[in-house]
Amino acid sequence: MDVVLDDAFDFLLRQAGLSLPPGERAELKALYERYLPRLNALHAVDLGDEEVAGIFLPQATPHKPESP
Amino acid sequence: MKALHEFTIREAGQLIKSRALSPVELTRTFLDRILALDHKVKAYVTRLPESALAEARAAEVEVLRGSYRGLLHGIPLAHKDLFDTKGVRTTAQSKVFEHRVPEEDATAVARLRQAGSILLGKLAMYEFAVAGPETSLFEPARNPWNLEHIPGASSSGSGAALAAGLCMGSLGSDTAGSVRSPASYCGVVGLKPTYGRVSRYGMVPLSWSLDHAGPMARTVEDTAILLQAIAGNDPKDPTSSQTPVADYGAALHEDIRGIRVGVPAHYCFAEGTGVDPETRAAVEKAFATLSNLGARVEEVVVPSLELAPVAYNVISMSEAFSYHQRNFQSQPHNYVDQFRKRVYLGALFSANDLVQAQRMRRRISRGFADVLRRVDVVALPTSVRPAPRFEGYDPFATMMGVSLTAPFNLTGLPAISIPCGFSLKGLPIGLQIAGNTFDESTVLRVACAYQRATSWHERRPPIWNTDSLASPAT
Repeated sequence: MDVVLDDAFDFLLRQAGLSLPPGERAELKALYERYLPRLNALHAVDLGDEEVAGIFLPQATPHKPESP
Repeated sequence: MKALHEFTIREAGQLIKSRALSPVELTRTFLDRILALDHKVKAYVTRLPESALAEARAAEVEVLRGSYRGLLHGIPLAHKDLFDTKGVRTTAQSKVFEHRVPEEDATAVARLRQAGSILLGKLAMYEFAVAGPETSLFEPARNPWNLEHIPGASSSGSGAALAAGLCMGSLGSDTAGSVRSPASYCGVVGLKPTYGRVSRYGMVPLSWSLDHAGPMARTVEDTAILLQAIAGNDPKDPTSSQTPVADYGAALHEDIRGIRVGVPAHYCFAEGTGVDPETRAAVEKAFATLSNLGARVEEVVVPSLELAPVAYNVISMSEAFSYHQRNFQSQPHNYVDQFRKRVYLGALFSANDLVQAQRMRRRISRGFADVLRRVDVVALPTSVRPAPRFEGYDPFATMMGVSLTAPFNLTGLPAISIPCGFSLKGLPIGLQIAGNTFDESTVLRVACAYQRATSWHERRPPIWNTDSLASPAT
């Protein structure tokens, strides 16, 4: 399993504005470490010149402004 | 004549139109069933008997005066408790919203009201539509097929109420399968329309770019009737499409000869996916049925599809954290632990993670677009297995596993779940059919053809018959 250093994890929490009790912090760290292999798999793919999807807009037709 | 709760929306609607059925009588039937059964199923978090009867009386007067509005006039419905209802508490099943009373209806709710439907109450769900059955506000809904099992997530009350005969139709929301999963686990029908087809206005969000509102019912035809009422442009929703709404009933009963059905077996039946043998057998039988009906079933490949769940989780939890950030700081104790932990993950993902997930989303969307140029629909199981038991259920394991529904939230494509069999333990199994953008008509047509050829949707759980059940003391 991937292991995240305590300092690195605390940096992530601070950056997110999260201040957690020790028990909750430990549980979240374990969950994050469990999830890291999936994140690594996501980054392992060469997406070439694929752009971001952003928000999926089925039809980019702007709404007409209301008549005055 | 069969019992009133046995009628489909189509059947009851036609009887109301011909004045052979009273909306008041129909509504009373469901209110009595809720009283008799819901202490076991726990599908309802808010019951509205007085206003429902008042609405039913008003509908009856209108029909008798000749002002019949259509097939939903006088039909008793109930909606997931994240759709805003004017003057009726809407909680998203969280203490955070315990006292929240909206001042207007969600657009989808308003459209169903305009169609003349009756609101029986609000239905249970997972807290803010994520995490697990444990919530901070109400008890979880239970699966009518076996009360020890979960009814699916997150529109749990919608699936449970339909399966137990406690309403005739429902609105659910679907961010990763939350309409289709409870439909699958409870043996009913649930449709996630194309992104932009049904307004999200007035729906408590989980993840703006992945959330969809969708109808649930006991038959495909009833689902189409509900979709017809709620589909269409809404200026209040910035992602609402102006694409014209099709007549979903027009092609519903056409045969499916020549329809091409693609099966992404490389994903849904891959080693490690975890699709259990009973589910696989039931779904493969369903493919054979579609083939016997004249469809051409073939395997298709969508590149990188196995990375859809992680792309989904990064995007959805990042968006969810953004929505909840302020309340996390001011009232963290009002969230259930499972929810908080899961959504906190969204704060730990980096901008680089999110951009990579969005690029993956684009790749998967392009992959489906390519496939759907060669086939008309894609078919696969809805869930990897029938409904698990409450005891020992680990929502984080679900998050770590494969999702067969989330790819259609990432891509925005319409997808439906219909019953296609039962496990040896008597739990329903769902078949998922997805189609091209705004082509709900073909998805519904294939699903309806399958339903006409099979009888899975006609099976009822033992709890359906209330004769032997005593009402709880009130």
